[in-house]
Amino acid sequence: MNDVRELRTRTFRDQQSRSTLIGFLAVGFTIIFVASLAIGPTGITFDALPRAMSAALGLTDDPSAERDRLVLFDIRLPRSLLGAFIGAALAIAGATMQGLFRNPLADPGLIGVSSGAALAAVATIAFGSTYLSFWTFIFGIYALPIAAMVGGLATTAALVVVASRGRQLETATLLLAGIAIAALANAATGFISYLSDDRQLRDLTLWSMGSLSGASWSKVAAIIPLAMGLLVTLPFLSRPLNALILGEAEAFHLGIDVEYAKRVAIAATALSVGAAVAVAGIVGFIGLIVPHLIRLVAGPDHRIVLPAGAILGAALVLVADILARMLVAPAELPLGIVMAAIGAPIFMHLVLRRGAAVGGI
Amino acid sequence: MLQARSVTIVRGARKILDDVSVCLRPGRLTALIGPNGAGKSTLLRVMSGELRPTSGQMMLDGNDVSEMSASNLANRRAVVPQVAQTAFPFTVLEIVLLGTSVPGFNLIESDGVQFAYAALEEIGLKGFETRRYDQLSGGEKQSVHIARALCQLSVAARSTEASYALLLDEPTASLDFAHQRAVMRCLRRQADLGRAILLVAHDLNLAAAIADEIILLQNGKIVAEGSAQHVLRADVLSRVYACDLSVMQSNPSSPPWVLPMSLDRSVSGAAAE
Repeated sequence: MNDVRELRTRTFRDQQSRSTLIGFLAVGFTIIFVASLAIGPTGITFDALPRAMSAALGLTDDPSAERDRLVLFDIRLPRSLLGAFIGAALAIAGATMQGLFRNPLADPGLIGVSSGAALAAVATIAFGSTYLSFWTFIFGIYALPIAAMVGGLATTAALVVVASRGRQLETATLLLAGIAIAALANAATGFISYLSDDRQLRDLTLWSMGSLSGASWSKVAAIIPLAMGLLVTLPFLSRPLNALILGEAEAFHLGIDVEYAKRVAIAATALSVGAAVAVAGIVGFIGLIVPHLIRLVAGPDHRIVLPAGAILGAALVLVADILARMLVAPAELPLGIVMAAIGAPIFMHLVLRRGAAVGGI
Repeated sequence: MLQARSVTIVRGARKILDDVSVCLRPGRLTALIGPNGAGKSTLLRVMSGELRPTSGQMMLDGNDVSEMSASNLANRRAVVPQVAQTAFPFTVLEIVLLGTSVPGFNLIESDGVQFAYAALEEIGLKGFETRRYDQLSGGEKQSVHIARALCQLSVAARSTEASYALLLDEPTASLDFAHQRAVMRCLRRQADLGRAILLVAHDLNLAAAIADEIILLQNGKIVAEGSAQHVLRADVLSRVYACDLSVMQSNPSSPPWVLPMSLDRSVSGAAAE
């Protein structure tokens, strides 16, 4: 009994040590968040904070203080907030999909959100000034993010309708139909790219590699209700996902309303990935790698994988974003490139060390 | 307690279950036997509430099972399926603890762990708590599932005075003799605690040794039901299983013993040549 106790503590597998892990991650995240505010190509660091504060409160007319305020509060702060949200949302979505499909290699793209969002984004970039000018006219500079969000959600909704038989949503059908719908969307995306001119093609390519450079307070404001919604949904997802690991019949035997749980999981994933793609384009790897990292130290219980994954995902995106804007300053690298450059080696290391690509991690 | 009333399940043109009525009673262990494809597992899925009958009714203490919520059902019955797989590295303890996580149990985690340890000890898996479930043998996995179900029932039974059902789909299929015996002893104890138990069994002798009542299914219909002596008769079994079977009994009070007649070395020897 004692050594059992010891092992569980060492691997963060009981309630108390799970809280410890969350605490660790939260502290780490806070440090990284603060660093992301203090680091940037303008050379403005935390020394500027008091002056920026006084400028924000209207206590000074010093133009350099006004510049500090602009950089810290209007550029870096919303950017960091968005980055944290995207990281958390993608990590939760990844863990949810892996739990729902009972497959550690599942990623949020499986339910068609990303490919649907990409199609809508590409259409907006290529036809925004011609066939879709009404859309750009209505939504102005937010035409692209809104189109991406709508496209992603519509694709997932279509998929759920296709994969439903009466009241039941079959996971296997969902998976196969998801692959088909993604292929269809990719074909359409490819066709539109084929019609695009060189400048549009460059926009498309950059969008598909993800970036936080378009961050603004209005985007943050648009994201806040979603972030809150996700936080509220989380505790309701972890138990059903735990029960689902042995299959849907087993989850039902354990008292889970499986159809309801599946729909909540898919809706939460579609909303979070849709929102993340809308504000930052496509950022890969977070959804795949973060849940694995958490499972490695804390076990696969979704009561820890979901919240801890959210914090770790947020921190990782902020680190990647700091690198993205510093490595080639004053220019910026796409976030997706940095993320993959960090994520792929870590993932490879995990897989090789564990010696099992599917079951072992 | 748990009662199937004229349950029929139709898939396409085929009747998988045809007008089957079964009644499980507290404290009694019912074994469900029959050849492959007779509808045993389907009947178990209907009894668990997982599958809705095409016609007929499933009742739990006077309530229609198809109108009960998943969590209400899980508060009254536990199910042990044939072995389930998972790709995630859960420990044995974490799998058994799933039995404490039924909505409405509202158990604090440390209490749940006590129940889980007790269930593991009962099934003979003491010391397996931190082993990885996905690295266990098939028989050990089966035992883990039984422990999970026992845990679920003992948590459910801690607060309310009601009867509880335990449904098992071939729980001893990949167990060696010693572990089969441990599981059977454990099921007997559960019956003595007042649980209504339904056991899908392939091993007729095991069923004969442990069950209070045996139900013999063939092509979705009940062919015979009652005590082991009544159901396990050579003529009936030979017809249903389409194979020459003889039934022996050393004395009138001991359970009957079923033996296949043509299973000797000459069969496999002839095939080898």
